[in-house]
Amino acid sequence: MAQNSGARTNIEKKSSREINQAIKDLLKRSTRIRISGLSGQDNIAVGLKGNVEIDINGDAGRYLGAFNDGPVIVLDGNCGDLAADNQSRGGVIVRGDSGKNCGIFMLGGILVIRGNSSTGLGKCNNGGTIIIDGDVYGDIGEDMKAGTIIVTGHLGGSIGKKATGGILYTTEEPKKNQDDSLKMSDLSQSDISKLKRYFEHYRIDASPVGFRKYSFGKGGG
Amino acid sequence: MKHPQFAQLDSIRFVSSTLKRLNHSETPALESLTIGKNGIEKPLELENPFIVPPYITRNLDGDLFTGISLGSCLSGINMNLHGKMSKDQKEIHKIHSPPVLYDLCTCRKVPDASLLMMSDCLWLELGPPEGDTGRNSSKECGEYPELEESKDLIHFVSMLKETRDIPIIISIRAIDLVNDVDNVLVTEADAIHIRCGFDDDDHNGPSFFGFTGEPVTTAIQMVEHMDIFKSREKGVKFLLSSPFRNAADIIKLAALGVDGFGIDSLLRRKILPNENTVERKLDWASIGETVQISIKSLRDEIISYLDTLNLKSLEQLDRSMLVVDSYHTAALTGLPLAGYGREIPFWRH
Repeated sequence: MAQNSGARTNIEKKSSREINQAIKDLLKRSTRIRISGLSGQDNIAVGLKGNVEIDINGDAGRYLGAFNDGPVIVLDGNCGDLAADNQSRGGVIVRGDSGKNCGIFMLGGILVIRGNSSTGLGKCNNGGTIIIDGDVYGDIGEDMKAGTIIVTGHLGGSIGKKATGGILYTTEEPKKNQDDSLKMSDLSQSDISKLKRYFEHYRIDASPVGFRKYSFGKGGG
Repeated sequence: MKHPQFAQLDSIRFVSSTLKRLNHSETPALESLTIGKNGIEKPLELENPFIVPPYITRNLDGDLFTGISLGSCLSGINMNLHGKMSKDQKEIHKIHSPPVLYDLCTCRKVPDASLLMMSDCLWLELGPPEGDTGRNSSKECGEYPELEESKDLIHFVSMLKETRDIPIIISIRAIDLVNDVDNVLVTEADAIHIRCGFDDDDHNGPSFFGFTGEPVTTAIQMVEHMDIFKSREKGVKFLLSSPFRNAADIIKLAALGVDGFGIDSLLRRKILPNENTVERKLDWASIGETVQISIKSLRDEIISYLDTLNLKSLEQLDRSMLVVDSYHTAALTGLPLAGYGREIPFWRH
C-alpha cells in the first residue's frame, strides 16, 4: 500500500452515484483515500479495481464493495445486506455489524465483520474468506462450493445446507445439516497458523485454541 | 405446422390505403438496434434488430457454442458469456469485437470477474430459467438469493448500474407479465425481453425449453396495457422471443411495437439438435456459417416483405397500419376490426 497521507472528502447527504464518482475521482489522485459522513447509502465502492485502500466513516447500506476486484475497503460503521457480493479480490472490512446475505457469490478476497452478522452468510461462496468476529444469527454457507468461513461467536442457524465444498472454523458445535455432509476434525498445524495469521492481521481478539474445523461436502473442504 | 399461438397474427392485415401513402424509391434496409437509455456511457449497438438470448446457449459447450458465437458475431449480433471463455471464443472476440452479453444467471457463479468488465450488456433473467427442464439441466440458473422481495430487484439493478454503466436487459416470461412488469419498469433496466409462445402440441418446438404456450398476441396486448410503450419514450426497448414462422410475423409484431427479436427459435430450428432431429456433428466453422446464412436469409426475407409493403424500414411501421379480420383477434390486440373503421367497443371482451 502506498505510504501517503491520502485524499479525503466528506460525502454527507450525497447520492450513491455522487459518492462513487467522488471515490473514482479521489483514486485518480491517491492510492489511499478516506471519505466520511456516509449515512446508509447503497452500492458504495462497487466494481472497483486496483491495489488501493478506501477508508469509509459512517454506515453503509446494501451492496458495500460488491464486485470488488482488488481494493481494500474499510468501513468504520455498520453495513446493510449483501456486503462484498461477488467479490473476486481485495477485501471488505467492517468495524460494526452487518445485515443478511453478506459475502454471497464471493470468488476470492476477504470479508471481515468485526461484529454480528445475519442470515445467508457466505451463500454460494466460491473461494472467498469470511471472518465474523461475533455471532451469526441465521444460516451459514448455504450452497457453498469453496472458501473459508471463520466465526468466533455463536452460530444461529443451519450450516452448509446443500454445500459441496468449503471449510468452517468455529468454537461452537454446529447443528448437523440434513444430508450429513459436515465433517468435523481437529485443527492441523497449518490450520492453527492460518487462524493465528488472520487474527493477528485483522486484530481480532481470539485464539485458535478451542476452534474446530468443519468441512462441507462429501469430499470435505 | 400448427402454431395456435400465431393464429391471431394470421388475421392481422395491413391497411393498403395507409401503405400507399408511403412511397419510397429507396431500397428497404433493416435498422440497427440500440439498447441503452439516454445518457448511458456505452449503449449496446447491434447491427440488426435481432438478439441471441443467453438461455439458448447456456447449456451448450464446444463446437455448438463456438459456432453460434461466430455466426452471431459475423451477423453483427451479440455473443454470450457464460462464465469462462474458451480459447476459440477469445479468438473470435479478439478478431470481431462483438457486443458481449453477460449472462448473470451463470457468470456470477464462475470465478472470473474480469468477464464483467469486458461485457457490453447484462442479461438478468427472472422466473424459472429457460433451457433447464431437459438435458444438461442446471438448477442454479435463474436463482438470485438476493431477490427475496419484489423491491429487491430495484436495488439489484441499481447496484449493477453502479458497478458498470452498461445496458441491462431484464427477461421475463409472458406468463409473469402481470406480476412482474410493474417491478421491472421501475428499475433502471434498458430493455425488457419477453419470452412466450411455444407450441407444445406438435412437438416441433423444443418443449424442453420450458416455454409456455400462450398466444404471442396476448403478450403484445398485455404489454400495451402495462405502460411498457410509454416507458419506451424514456428509451426502454421491448424485445420479444417467440417461434416466429416467417418475416410476416416479425413485421406484424414490429408494427405492434416490438423493437427487437430474439432469434432463439431460428437457432433452434437450424442448429440445435432437439427431440425430433438427429444430432448432427458439425464443426464450429460450419455451425457459424449456418447461423450466418440463416440470419441473412431472415434479414433478406424481412427486407423483401418491407419492399412489397412500400416501406423502407421497420421504424416506419405503426399500429395504425393494421386491421384485423376477426373479433377474437380484435379483442386480444385492441386493433380495429376491418370494415368497422375503429377499435371495437368496450363489450369486445
